[in-house]
Amino acid sequence: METGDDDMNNPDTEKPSKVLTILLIKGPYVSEAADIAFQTALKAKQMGYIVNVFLYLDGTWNSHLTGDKNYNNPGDWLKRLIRKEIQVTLCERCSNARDLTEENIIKGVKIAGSTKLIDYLRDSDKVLTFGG
Amino acid sequence: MKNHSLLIYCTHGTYGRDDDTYGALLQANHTLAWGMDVTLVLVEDGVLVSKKGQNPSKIGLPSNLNELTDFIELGGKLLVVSESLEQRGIRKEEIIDEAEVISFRDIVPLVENHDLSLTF
Repeated sequence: METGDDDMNNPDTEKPSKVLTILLIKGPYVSEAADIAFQTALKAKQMGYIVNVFLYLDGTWNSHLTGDKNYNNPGDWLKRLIRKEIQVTLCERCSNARDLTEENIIKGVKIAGSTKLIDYLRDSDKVLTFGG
Repeated sequence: MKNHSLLIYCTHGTYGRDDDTYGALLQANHTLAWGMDVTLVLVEDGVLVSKKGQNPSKIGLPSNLNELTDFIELGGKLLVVSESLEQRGIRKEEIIDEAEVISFRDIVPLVENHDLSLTF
């Protein structure tokens, strides 16, 4: 899947935007779930979708990858999402359980209660779960 | 609001990936409380969640039975897949009374009758 930054500025369609919500429940490096979820989000944004990403349960750990690495880094994908103005939200309860705060996660990721996910679900045209 | 009904598949038991199961049930209950219809399907190892009398708090895990009780009281529909029960040697009498046992082949119409689905 081609998802470089340069590809994201030309949506394939001029139709009214549909809404895609991605729910990620797996952390980094335990599977490819995080990588695929974030690349799917970028591709959907390129295709003209309004994209919401909700990090739930162990999915919240992805927001903790703030540093640079010389190997595959889901945190880099997450930073790209933020740069592309994709809304990324962490479950507050899951974050509290893992001591994740706005001080130790990637800047631009928001922490909110699970009712935020319900808002996303109510208003989405498509919902995808990764890591289930 | 575009969507009114949510189908949640719970594929893991109380142990091992307890956070996933607990998180699925919390989300199901919150969604019910916010006015959407929710159906919870326990499938694969998820059927273990419905066993009567379990008390995982003895080993420091949350009691999912309490969450299931809340789910039913909030008006949620609880379904347990018979094939998954049989594969694990669990009899219908061993699961909570409020659960309805269905077959795998009943899942397709369920999908058709719900706006969204999530898998945990």
